[in-house]
Amino acid sequence: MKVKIPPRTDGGSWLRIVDTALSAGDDFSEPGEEAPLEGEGATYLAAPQSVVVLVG
Amino acid sequence: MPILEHRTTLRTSPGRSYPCGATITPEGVNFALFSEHAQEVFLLLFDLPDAPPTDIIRLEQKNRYIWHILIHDVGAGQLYGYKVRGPYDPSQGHRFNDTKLLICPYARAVTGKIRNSDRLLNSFHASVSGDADLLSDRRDNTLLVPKGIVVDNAFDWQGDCPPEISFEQLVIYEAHLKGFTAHPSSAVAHPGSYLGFMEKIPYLKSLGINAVEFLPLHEFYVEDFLVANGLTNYWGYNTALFFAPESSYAAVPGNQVQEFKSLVRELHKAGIEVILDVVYNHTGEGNELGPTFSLKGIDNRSYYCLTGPPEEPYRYYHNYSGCGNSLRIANPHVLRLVMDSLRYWVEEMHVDGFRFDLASVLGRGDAGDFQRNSAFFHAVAQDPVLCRVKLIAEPWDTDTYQVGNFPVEWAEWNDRFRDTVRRFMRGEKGQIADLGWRLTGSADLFSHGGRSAFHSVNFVTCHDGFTLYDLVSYKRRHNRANREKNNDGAWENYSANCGVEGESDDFRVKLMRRRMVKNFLCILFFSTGTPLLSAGDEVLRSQQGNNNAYCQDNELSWFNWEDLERSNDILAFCRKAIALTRQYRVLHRNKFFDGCVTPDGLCDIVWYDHNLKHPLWDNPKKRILCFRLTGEGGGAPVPVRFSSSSTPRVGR
Repeated sequence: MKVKIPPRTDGGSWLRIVDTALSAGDDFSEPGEEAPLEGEGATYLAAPQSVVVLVG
Repeated sequence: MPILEHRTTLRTSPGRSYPCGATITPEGVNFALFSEHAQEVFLLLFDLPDAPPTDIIRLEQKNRYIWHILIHDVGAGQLYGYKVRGPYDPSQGHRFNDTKLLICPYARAVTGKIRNSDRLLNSFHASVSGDADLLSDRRDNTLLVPKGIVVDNAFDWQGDCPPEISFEQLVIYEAHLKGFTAHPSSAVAHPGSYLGFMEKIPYLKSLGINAVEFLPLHEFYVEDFLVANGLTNYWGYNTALFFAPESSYAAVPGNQVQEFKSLVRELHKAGIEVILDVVYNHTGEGNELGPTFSLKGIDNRSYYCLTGPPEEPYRYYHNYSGCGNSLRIANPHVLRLVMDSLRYWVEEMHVDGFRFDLASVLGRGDAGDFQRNSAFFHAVAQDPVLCRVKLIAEPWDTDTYQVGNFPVEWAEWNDRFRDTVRRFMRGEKGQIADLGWRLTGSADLFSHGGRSAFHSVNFVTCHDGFTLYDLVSYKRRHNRANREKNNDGAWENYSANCGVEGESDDFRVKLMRRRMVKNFLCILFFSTGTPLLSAGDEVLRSQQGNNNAYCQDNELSWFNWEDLERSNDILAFCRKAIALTRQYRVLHRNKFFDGCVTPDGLCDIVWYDHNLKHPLWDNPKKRILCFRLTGEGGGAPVPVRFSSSSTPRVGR
């Protein structure tokens, strides 16, 4: 399912910390190695039965 | 056994009625025992646990129903017990029987497990059918009953300080002291003991938890029916003595007090608090057909809530606990026993908090009704020692459900969190409105009466019920090992098996189960409130579908340390999840969210659906929930999305 992401107030990118649908190792980022999500008003493709955590 | 009469060569003095129990003084040991209805009280001293008494001393002093004496020239390590003389008249609530040795309710250690061999603990004559409890059994059991040990409080605490972790910082790990290291894979020097657990502190530290909540560590009684079935009481929710650490968990028999203190000291050094699961709602003495080893023989009518028809008004026991009897905490002397016990565990044993089993029983008055202003709650609230420690209620009993209703000092186990999170995650419709409350500290239940967001103790699983792995692997309970034809244990678990009941080699099933476990860990740790993790869930511990393993003291229940390797992905995930909660204060708030704008110009919480629209809370078809949190005091905004769109199942 496509999930819309709210824009960050400072215009920066959200960082993905958790996506439980990803395989072990990628499912929870190491501190400092979070993957940035590109673009404002982006969408995130979330798998069924999953939890996603973003930080900004 | 010789006739019960005074015979001693020891020097005695009147002593004092305070404190209760056996207390070492410069002159000897002071013994004090409460019994309002006893006619005579005898103190028996022993050199050996299984030998006849060396001395039998009739207590002559009684002050405010407390019988007392000072024995000179005895000290730490002295073994003792009581025999109490009075009427055997069950209809009036009196079950005195001076052939039965009784353990001091304040005994700080005992010489071994209490066993009902040949039914010698029964104060009634078992062979009489029908009115079985009305005739007394006159067989002496002095040799059988464990002896109390006079304990010296001295211990090398090495400057121990309680970690004093603020409640909102707490991450609780619920563990069984024996089960954590009983498995051979634990590779500790003293498996299943206080010292064995001590060896595993580095693991707890690396996991990131900062409080261990131990299943009961008070000396407990194994019910006769379990022994008869070749089973045992593994969990230990059947307390015999409120001051004695469980004797069978000692690496060196008799050394349980020193070993327990060592464990607390070392956990504190690692920054980990100790919370005891305590059972003050009933005792192991059961109902009118249960054993007698302490309170029942000392003063049954004072210690227990009794009932009966008009012609025998005190023959039977109120059973609010579902375990045969209920402690009569509305009696001030019984209340004192409980309060003295709690203070002892804090002041002498250095524990940091308590989780009260079936705590609603403790709020019942003499009429049986639950009262937020009960004597017990007032006593706790004003206590200068207990105000320092964490108090957690299991806020229900067999027929009163009080979640959210405890006084301001109390945190509560939140079963609404458990059930709603399970139902949402397995894809049930109509859950998101309730889920919204559960994710944010259950303000609907706890925000009144001065309480804070951490007062909700959130859990998905605990010792009672499925393990987390079994929650995503079994639709139904599988309890045949309990020898009750699978009739015991909770029927409704809100579980889902991901397509296959039980073990599966299908990698897609395995993958889905791992994802579901990770989902639950996220919800547990990232929700507002105090998270409680059940030991082993971080490494996919399974009980093969048994959701009521209270009697399984074996590999079905024990922590298998080989799981660390097998489930290292989940373990790593769990560690990171806990670490993230340390990084962002917004994930362990003490205030409830109120939707107000923070100094950053953002609301503390904003809810969305998948389209950035306001969620349609009441639309039962909605099974996705998104929200954005903005940190209080410097934490960065953390949007968290939880989604669940169908019953977890893999394509086949």
